[in-house]
Amino acid sequence: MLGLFRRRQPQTRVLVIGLDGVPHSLLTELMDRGAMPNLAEIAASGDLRPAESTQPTVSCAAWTSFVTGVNPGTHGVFGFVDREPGGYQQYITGTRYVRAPQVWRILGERGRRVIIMNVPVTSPPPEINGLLVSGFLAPKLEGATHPPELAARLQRLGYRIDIDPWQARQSLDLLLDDLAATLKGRVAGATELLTTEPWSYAMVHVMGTDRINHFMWAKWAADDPDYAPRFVDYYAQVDAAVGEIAPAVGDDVELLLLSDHGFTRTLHEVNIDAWLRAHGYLGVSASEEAKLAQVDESTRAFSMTPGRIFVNLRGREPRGSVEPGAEYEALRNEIADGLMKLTDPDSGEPIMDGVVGREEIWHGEALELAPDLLAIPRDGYDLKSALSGDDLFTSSPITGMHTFGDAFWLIRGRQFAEGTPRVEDGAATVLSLLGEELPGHFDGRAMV
Amino acid sequence: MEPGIVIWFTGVPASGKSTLAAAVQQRLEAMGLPVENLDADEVRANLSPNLGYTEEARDENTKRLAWFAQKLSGYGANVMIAAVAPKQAYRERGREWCEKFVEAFVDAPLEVCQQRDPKGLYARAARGEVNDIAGMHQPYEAPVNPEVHVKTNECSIEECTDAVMAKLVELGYLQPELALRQAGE
Repeated sequence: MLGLFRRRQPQTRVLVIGLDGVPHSLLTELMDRGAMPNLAEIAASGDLRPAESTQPTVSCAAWTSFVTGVNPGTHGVFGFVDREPGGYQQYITGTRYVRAPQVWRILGERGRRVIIMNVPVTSPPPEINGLLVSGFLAPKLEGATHPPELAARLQRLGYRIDIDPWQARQSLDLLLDDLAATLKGRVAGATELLTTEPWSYAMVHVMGTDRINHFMWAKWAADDPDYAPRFVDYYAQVDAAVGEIAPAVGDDVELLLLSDHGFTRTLHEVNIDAWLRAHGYLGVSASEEAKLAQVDESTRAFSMTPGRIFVNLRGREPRGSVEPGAEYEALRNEIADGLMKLTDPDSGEPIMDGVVGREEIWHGEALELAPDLLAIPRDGYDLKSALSGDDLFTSSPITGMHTFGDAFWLIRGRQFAEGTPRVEDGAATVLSLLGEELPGHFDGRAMV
Repeated sequence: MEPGIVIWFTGVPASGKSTLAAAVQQRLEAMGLPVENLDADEVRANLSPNLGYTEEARDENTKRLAWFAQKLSGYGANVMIAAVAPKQAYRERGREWCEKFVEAFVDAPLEVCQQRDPKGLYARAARGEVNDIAGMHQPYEAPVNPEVHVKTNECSIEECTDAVMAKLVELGYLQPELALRQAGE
């Protein structure tokens, strides 16, 4: 009987919708044009801010920072492909490589049930207190859910993890059809799970926005008569998706939308491996079969996308050639100075915003996985590492690239705290919204 | 002449076929037995560089491998084949043509293979550069009744090698004394 008299606050629930790679500037422009009325309405009632990503500015690193609340030097995800510490072997990142607890693990330990849909770096699916479907890089829906039987349920709703990037490279029309179908499945899956299952934290991720930006940004930027309207139309579909999911879960749910990085037009792709080779740092000759495993003592430095430069250090790499200490530092300075002098062949403008040592931007237990140097480009210069080619400036069907700034955070019905939100503020913000105590190890802060 | 053993290591890319084939080769050679390793990647590069990964090309490639294995084993060589061979029919051809045939299913979950990705194949798929990976884009027919089935995400390479060697003894293809002596017992 006592229970009848005990005052019980209804438990707060938080829904995060991740719109991968959507720039703040694009969002405001599309809102002004009336193409995104649902997001505009949320912004009118709440707070929309430009936000910052993480370094390197890649989705796997950034979303892992959001869900763990720490920098890549602590969580250990620096790219979608990472390198074994002190070796030449690479692996595709995934659940097992994340070295810091995600917000769903923290909440699970406190008895809170979660629903996590399509967040990058959750493959294979971890066993959590709730439901999870893996995101970007999960090879198939089958085997990508916790519990396993969730896959069949989502399959029936037309759920897809991602578009087929092969098709995207064949034709923009195929890409657009694929994007629409994938989004439709996402809305069906999210609405079904969020309205029939118990949860206190949910996170629904949309990768399609990043995908369309990569393949169609130039069409949008050039106001292409055929494809710019279809680019806008996809964003209108995304807006409608939010307009369907948000009311379904109810107004009492705290709603946060965000992107993990901004986007801009690619002026040039810059092959850092070609630069390292031309300057005598990289000993692996260009060929289709070239791979990092061929690095030997003739190599002093090698790289991985985007702008991650590793010194071939004696005593650390198996065939290291550079002495630790003074020689290592001198080499890092030399490479940094050289890259800073690199200029755009068309405009003569510098390409790099900075070239920084690992200890300057990251800290933590996973620093051993970090590159020795990170080259940070100015917007428009997309840093790639391809051992196969000798051309410094290259092009590909990809027409857009990530930016560190110009991401967005949008919250319904309240204001953010002072300052620019950074992606690693995610976990602290989510826990604060839920009224949960923050653990001591976060790098980010609560933005509410 | 006593024909050699032919072991077909089959599984999706990055499941551990080549690694296991090399480990078994090492064990057999340590016993003084002649071994020829027909690693599919090497055979393709040297004999069929223009052969792709369509169904017809895979059919052709696996036919060549089986034919080679038959010829070599006829001269007493023990042959390791490390090749996806996504259809049961491709492997059955090897079984038909080779007298002492062993189908070794090298098994690991697709997500695990994808993360290992030693050749960067799955990374290329993520970038949309390839769409012909068996087990992901194209069907992979897991062996129905393989002589050996090893799970490389659950067992060490030594344990997997032991399992293959034990099967060779059990099938009577390898003298137990020879295998034991080599194991140092």
